[in-house]
Amino acid sequence: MISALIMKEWLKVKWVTAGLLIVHIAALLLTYYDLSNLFKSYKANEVIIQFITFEVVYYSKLKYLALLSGLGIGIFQYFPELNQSRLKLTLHLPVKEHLLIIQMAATGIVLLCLLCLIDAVIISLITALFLPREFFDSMITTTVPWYLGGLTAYVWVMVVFIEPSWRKRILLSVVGLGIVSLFYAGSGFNIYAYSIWCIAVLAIISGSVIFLSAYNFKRGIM
Amino acid sequence: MDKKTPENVVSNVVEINNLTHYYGSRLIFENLSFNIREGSIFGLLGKNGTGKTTTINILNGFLRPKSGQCLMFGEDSYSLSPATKARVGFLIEGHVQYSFMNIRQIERYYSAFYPRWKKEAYYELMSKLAVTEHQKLSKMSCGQRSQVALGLILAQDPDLLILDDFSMGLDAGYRRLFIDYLTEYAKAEKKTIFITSHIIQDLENFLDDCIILDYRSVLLTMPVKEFLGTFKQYKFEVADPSITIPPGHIVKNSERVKNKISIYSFSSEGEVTQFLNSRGIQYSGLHLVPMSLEDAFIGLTGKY
Repeated sequence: MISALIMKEWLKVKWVTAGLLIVHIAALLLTYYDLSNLFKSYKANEVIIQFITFEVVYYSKLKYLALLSGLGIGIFQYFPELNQSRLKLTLHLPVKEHLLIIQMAATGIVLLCLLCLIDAVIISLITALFLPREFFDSMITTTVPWYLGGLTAYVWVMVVFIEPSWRKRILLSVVGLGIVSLFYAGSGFNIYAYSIWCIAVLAIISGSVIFLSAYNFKRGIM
Repeated sequence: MDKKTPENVVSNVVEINNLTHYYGSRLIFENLSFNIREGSIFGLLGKNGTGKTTTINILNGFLRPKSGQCLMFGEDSYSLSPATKARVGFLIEGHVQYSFMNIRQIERYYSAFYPRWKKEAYYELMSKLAVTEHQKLSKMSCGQRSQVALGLILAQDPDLLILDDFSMGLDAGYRRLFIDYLTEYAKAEKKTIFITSHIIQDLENFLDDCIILDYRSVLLTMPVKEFLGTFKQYKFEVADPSITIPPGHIVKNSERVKNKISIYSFSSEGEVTQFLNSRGIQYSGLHLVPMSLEDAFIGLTGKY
């Protein structure tokens, strides 16, 4: 039963996920290429001093990738459910409704986490190849909010698509946009070093809105 | 008086009691009540906007009514258990299914949820279509998609089939195929069917019972044979073409084209004659006109 539900979600998002994977890999290759060129052209200590002095985020190409992925997977996963009220087909299945909603969200979140994990692992390897350990630590605290921003954007796409009322949909889009923008507010590195846990809690709390929209859909509130 | 024994008690699969629903301040229906007997084919008929799909949405738990009770297999339809949902096959208006799946994928998908799944029922229907197993639903015609949706419902082997406007977008051949399969299925398996359609003529020899909805109210609930046997159309000519006959106890509806008048009534020819005479209406050539279910439906609900 679970594998059937996963198959359905995968069929909806497999092409967009493949496309996003290509974009992620291209961004990582470009980051590697840029760093490698810098270290070939200048002395390593000069590059490192420049990076520290000007707070250079050498992995900035990754900044909006998780967000793009969250939006892409969310739209491809939930638009077919919204279109012609196909969500009714899912909710008519002989499975408890909240479990169906959780499973749909879980499939998208796992795919998104895999894409973020690829980014995190490869950018860590690139960092380890060229830069000292301290850069690795700051890279983690800088990129984790971006990944959380992508996950939050995914959740809000789901919330907006499942919500049956157009008025509430517009309102939720504005609220979602505001919340997601908090994850990308800062520039430079280490900007969220002291608030990363607050950011994580914000992501989790905002995700619970899914159940409100699912409840509204079920009640037929227009 | 008949004594009720467990053998002759017919249980109701669906019980709707005093259902009232509004969209915002717009009343859709008020105090709607009807039951669907186990093993019967029940038609919900009405013009567009009378609340057919709303009723089906409430019945499937996709809409919470403002008031009233809706029970399916004895459970509140708004919180059906998974076991009860497995006993209900649901065709969404327009034969909506997962168009991104192909014939094989969609069969495998649904088979995982239903313990009584009958794969052969689905593939038997698919073999009649000129499609391959790997053809996506999005690449099929509306008629072919309707057969996929029907095949999935038959394979599910539900005890109750709820079909919301199955005829939408289908040509005469596919509509006939749909009805033929449903008739065979309902008879052989003693299943209950709850159906709506805007093409009434398809349902004439199919339905056992029907309810006819008007805007905000119920016009009639009775077996189709009784409806066709008791509801009559009388035609006659009048000398004064400005005569109008308002609906009432005897005349349920009337139409006038120049000096020719048709009246629709549950009353006998004698009662109608008496009614016309009591009103002082000068008429000639009163005669009974045979009606199909569609004629009777239009006669009762009016053309507009």
